[in-house]
Amino acid sequence: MTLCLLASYNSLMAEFTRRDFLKYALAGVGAVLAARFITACSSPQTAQNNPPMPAPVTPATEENDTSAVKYPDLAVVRGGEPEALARKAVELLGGIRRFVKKGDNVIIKPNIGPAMRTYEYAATTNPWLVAAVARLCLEAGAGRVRVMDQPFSGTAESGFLNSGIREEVEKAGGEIELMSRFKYASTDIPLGRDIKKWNIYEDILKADVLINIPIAKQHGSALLTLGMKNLMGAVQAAQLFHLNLHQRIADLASRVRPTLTILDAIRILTANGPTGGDLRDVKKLDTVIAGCDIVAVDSYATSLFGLRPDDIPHIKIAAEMGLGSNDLYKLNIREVTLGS
Amino acid sequence: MAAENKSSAGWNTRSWLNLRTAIQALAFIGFLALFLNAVPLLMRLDPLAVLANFISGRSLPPFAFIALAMTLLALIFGRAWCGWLCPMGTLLEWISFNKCRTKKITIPDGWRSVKYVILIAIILAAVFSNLTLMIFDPLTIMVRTFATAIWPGLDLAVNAAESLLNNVPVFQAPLARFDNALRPLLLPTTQLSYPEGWIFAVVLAAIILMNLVAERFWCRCLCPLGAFYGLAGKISLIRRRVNESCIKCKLCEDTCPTGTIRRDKDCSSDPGECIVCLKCMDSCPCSTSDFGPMFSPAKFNSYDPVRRQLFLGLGAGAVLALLFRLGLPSKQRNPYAIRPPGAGEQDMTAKCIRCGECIKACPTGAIQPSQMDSGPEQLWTPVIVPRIGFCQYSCNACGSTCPVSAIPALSLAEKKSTIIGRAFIDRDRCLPWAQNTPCIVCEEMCPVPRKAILLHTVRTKREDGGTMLLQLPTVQAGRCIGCGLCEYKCPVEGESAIRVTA
Repeated sequence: MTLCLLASYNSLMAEFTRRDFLKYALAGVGAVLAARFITACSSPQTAQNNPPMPAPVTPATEENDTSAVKYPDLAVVRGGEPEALARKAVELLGGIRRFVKKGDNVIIKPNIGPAMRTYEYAATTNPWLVAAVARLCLEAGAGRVRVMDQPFSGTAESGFLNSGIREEVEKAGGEIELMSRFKYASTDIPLGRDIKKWNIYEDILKADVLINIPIAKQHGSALLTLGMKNLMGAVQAAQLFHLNLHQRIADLASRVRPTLTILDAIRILTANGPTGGDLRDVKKLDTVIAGCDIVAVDSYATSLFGLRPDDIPHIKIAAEMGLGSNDLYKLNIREVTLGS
Repeated sequence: MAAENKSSAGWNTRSWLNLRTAIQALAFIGFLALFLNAVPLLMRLDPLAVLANFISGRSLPPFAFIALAMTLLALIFGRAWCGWLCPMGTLLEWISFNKCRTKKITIPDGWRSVKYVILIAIILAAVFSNLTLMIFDPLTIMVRTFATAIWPGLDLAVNAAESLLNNVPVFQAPLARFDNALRPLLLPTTQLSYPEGWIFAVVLAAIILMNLVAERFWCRCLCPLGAFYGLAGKISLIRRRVNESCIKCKLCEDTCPTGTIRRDKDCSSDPGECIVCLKCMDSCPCSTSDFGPMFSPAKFNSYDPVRRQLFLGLGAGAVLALLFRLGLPSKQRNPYAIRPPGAGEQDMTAKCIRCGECIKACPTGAIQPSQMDSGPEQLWTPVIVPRIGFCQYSCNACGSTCPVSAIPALSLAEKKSTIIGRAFIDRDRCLPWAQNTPCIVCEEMCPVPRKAILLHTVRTKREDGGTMLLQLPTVQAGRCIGCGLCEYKCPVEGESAIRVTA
């Protein structure tokens, strides 16, 4: 019996001839070529990764529409739990349904820069605020709500975990996305003055709704990291921005256009930013600043640090480029303190 | 494990063979699971690693009892490890090239001594507190190669495939799902790079290709762990027995993967070479060979480490250990050999078994096997190369993964204040210092709570003749822990303008 087995085993292997080998090799090459062909056929739409730039929801377009209700440019809500702050701010801006339609593909971009800090250090966006916005979007019928960022001082998983954002977002029903390397594509920045092309995360450009939830922090060269600076989490090789930081932040803001920016000033980091790590540098303000105009949100946020919009070069540049308004006197700002 | 009558319907020789195949596959999956989760159990199963580390480091590594248990098992089952559990053995069996060896080559018996010489040299070098020769341990070879070549290589291949398929719209959604669900489990989430990974791949490939000369050439002739188990096998309880009814048909000789069954020696085998694969039992048409208890020690062969091999091994161990140390008296250590947090230079020579578990555990790929720049004494010990990867501030994976405590298991709090080096700014390369170009990436990235990089604002001349404010970074040495994040992120092309030295 054993002999039989051995013999059959040997004969089985003996049948694998050079001809067989060539056949399989040819089939393999064919498969690769077929894949290449399919790729080539479908590439015209995707090779240039330039999905149309979304028209930001701005009061300007609504002015033309006489039936439109006048919404404030900025909603500033103080004094309450993160979830209540988020709900009130969005409500003041016209409610989540103004931004999120049924079945929409929503991406939320918080700031999870430093991978090693918990939320108390105000180096990463408040997890309950992120979760509250995710929940709002799902309530409005969003098809998919993804939360993503690229932590820089550690792995992405450790950042999602340490910040508490993974736990809260998943509780709220949102997804955490690990930003995959293959999804960055070279993207034109037509309005860019310094950078005309950069590798940007495709899904962020293609999302129906992009909600930017930065945290307000001190920063060595940007001076403050607010809404526009937070968009640097959508690109590859962000450290190269620093060679001309302020202009490049503004250039990026001209291409990545969040539908809504909800700035987390529940805790702000006043020194040793953007990484923090010392609770003495953290100030608790329990404030959320929201608006469709990213430049306006950033401009208002400078006041949290006792600065003016013009003190931050990239805010000034962005306003000059027509990306938004930095004139706090001309903005329609609704300020509400909860429970008063 | 006594052989049953093959014709009986129940548990027979085939069942034993199938059991062995199943256990081999399971053990290999176990090896992969341990590897992927950076659980340091594998090296603790290795009695040679534990013994050498004990002799060299003069203290018992943690969980040494596991290795002791493995040794006791070897005293019962001989080299069964090699045939049933060893991931290297399994790999060599799966890629055996049995069909490619057309004519039978008998390799000289003397070659089998080499493994004993290596074993003895490892032990003697360990007496001199040197573990460089542990690079020959099969388990260190496996972990090292998987960590620096196969795993990151697989990642590159998967990423290339993903990038290609992502161009096809229908594939985009499933690809994203695949990447998010499976990548954290199976592949690195950050791109890792090991410039010297190819060396390890070549070494493993060479070991596999040696199968072209003879089946399990590595196990027969070179493997020091096999030699260790082989010595235990000489006095092991369960050994192969051949009874008188053997007709010398030579079928078992042809099947034996280590070629230890010899017709010219009455189809007997050397328990120091037998890996208890049981194939001989299966191939025997007369059921004359089986495995059962034997009490007298096996007799020694010409290739066993009795006299010549013993002295050769002792001499090689001593000479190599001393030669490797020739660089030491200068006291000028390589300034760029930054060690993982808490690891002392002495531990790196005397305790590190070169297994590469820390290389796998490091999530940023900062830990690299050091090459010859720190001298052969520290060949393939872990160093942090910040330009390739930085030491994550809130991470102590290397210490908690090190199976022999060559890297101490620090708590997170301890790790955060452990100084592994210091950063120095090269003002001739730093953009603000050398080129009047604004850049503060090092300050931005610095993860310590009180930033170790300070910015001084000065007013300088602009190209167009005007003036501008420029921030100049300097290192606050007392705060720097040497994590290398600044060196990693420094946007200066080529050599970083801020470098960490040990």
